[in-house]
Parts: sequence; structure tokens; C-alpha cells
Amino acid sequence: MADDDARLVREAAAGDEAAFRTLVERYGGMAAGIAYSVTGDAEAARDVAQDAFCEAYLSLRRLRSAASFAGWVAGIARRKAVSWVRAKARSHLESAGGREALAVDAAAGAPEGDAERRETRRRVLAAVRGLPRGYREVVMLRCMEGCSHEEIRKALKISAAAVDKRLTRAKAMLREELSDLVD
Amino acid sequence: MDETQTGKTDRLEMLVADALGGLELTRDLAGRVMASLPPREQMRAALHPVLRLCFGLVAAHFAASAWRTDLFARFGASEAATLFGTVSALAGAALGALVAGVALAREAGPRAAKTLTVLVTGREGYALVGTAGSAVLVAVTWLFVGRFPAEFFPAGLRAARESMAMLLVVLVLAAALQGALLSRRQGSRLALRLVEAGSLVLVGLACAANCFFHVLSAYAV
Repeated sequence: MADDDARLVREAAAGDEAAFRTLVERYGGMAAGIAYSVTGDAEAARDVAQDAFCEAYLSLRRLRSAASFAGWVAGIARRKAVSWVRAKARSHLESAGGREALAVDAAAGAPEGDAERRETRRRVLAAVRGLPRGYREVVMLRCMEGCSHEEIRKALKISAAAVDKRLTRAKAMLREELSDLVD
Repeated sequence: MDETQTGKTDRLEMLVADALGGLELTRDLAGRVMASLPPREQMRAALHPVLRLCFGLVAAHFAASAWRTDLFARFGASEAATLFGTVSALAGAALGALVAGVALAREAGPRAAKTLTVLVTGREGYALVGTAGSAVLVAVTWLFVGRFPAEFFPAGLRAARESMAMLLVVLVLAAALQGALLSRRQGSRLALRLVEAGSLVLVGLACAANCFFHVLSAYAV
């Protein structure tokens, strides 16, 4: 995968937009997931991910190791998401915006009339939202993108032990919060 | 981890995956990204010679300032003019070194030089930096022409101050428009390309005008 990424990055840096599109399709979910874990707002996460890839496209030649594209773009997405949260705080729109967005998002994703499923999704998202940010990120990557521990380690640039610790604790917290759904 | 615990973990991951999947975070993400990519390689390839010409003209502008210093000193101009000329000469020397360094560092060179290249010629923001810089340049010249005694300048040059004011307004507007487009990065690629191309032409015109005014004022002393 890393070799393939390196090839795609080189081609994209040379102006091949199809190669860059492949990279976006491959890592779009990861970037959006990390953005969502910071912003708690699906629409903002999509915008942040879009912005992150635009910045990545313009800076491809500055990427020292083409094979580390995933971690690099994840870092850009996280930085932009943090900026988004700060900008939102500055504009005094912070008040429970993220939690409201979660409720709306959860409702939007479920089919009409499926009240029970909608309620489950809302509770799960609220539980995820309640995790510390570092835990949220690993949960997003693990559950949404199906990333392996190694992929999470590279994306978040943390040690393997830290991935294990965060994932284990995050799951323990979620199990406790959602015990009636899991048991 | 026993089987029950593993089962719970799997169930938990499925629950979370289902809830997060419902958010559709990647909905049309690739399409949106590709549609909003600003022009990059094409722009740089097409306009790079123009950019080099602009930098050359900026350097020439400062060289002309330095030359005028010599003339001021030779013909006993005011201390203020000499001071201005000295500062201008120093700035000219610094900018000349910078331009030379940037030109040399474009393809190969130490990391610091490359970083400087990025800052000065600035990737997608280079036209914005150039335009804003030209606006400052024109503003300084505009103020300069208005500040010194009339005998330093031919009448035509003083009248040209009005044209410079117009150019200044256009440059500031172009910089503002570029800034808006670049910050959104979602504008039409064609529009962005046109604005960048137009701005670079303006940068060139501004620098050429500055050189012309400086040479004229030097002869007028």
C-alpha cells in the first residue's frame, strides 16, 4: 500500500489528477473521520476534509516521504479541524453546536420511520462524542474505516502501545455507556 | 479476552461503524475535492517567465533608486533625499540578493533557501504576494512623488501621479479578489486563473511604471 501511495503521490505531484483522485478516495474517509472526531459536525468534517486535500494537493512536492501520505494528510485534516473549532468558538456559536449536529446527523442517516435504529445511532454517536479526542480519533479510524492498528499508528503518528491503550480504554468507556446495546 | 468479550467488542464496533456510516462523511468527497482544486502546475508553467520578469523589474526599480541616490549626492540634493536614496540602495541590494537567491534555489539548494522560495514566490499565493507587494511599491512611489519639491520632477511625472493612484486602486482590488478566491478555494478555476494572470500582468506594469518614473526623476534632478 505504501509503495502504491508513493507512486500515486509522485504522479499527482506531476499533475496527474486521476492519481490524486485515487488518493482522495482511499484516504477521504480517514481524513473526514479525524475531522469529525474533532469538530463533532458531519458537514464541517466534509468541508475540512475537502480543504485538507486541497492543501495537500498544493503541497505535494513538500512531502518528504511520499509513502507517508496518509499520516501527512491526517495531520492537515486535524490541524484544519482544530482551526474550525477555534473559529467557531470565536464566533460565539459554540453553544452545544456539536451536540445538536450529532442529533441531526444521526436522524438524517436513518431511514424514515426507523425510530429505534435512529435512537440507537443517536446514543452511539453521543457516546463517541463523549470520548476524549485522542480516543475518538482511534475509534473513528478503527470502526468507520476499518483501519488496522498499524494504519492507525501511522495516521496519528503515535506508538503502537498508545494505539492499543487508547482503543482499549475507548472501547471500555463505550461498553459502559452502551452496555444495554452491547450485552 | 474470552469469546463473550470478543463478541461484545465486535458488536460494539459494528454499532459504532453503523452509526458513523450513517453520517456519510465521504459523500461525494472526491468529486468536491477535484472540483475545488485550484490551478497549480498549468499556471506555474505558463506564467513562470512573467513572474521572473516581474522580479527582474522590481530589482531594476531598486537599482534605479540607488542610481538616483548617486545623482542626488552629486548635485547636492536635500539630506532627506539622500537618506531616502541610501535606504533605497540598501533595500535594492537586499532585494537583489534575495531575487538571485530565489532564482538559484528554485531547482536545487538548501532547505532554508527552498523555504524562502516558497515564501516569496509562494505556491498558489505567489500572485497575491506579488500583487500586494506591487500595491505597496506603487503607494510608496506615489507618496514619494507628492512629497518632494516640484523641481525634482518634470510636470508630466507629477501629473502621472493620478494614473498611479488608479493603478494602486486596481492592484489593491486585485489582491483582495485573489485573497478571497484563494481563501475559499472553491471558486471557478477559470476565474482564479484569469485573476492570477491579470494580476501578474498588473504586477509587471506596476514595476515597469516604477522603473520609468525613477529614471525620469533621475534625469530631472
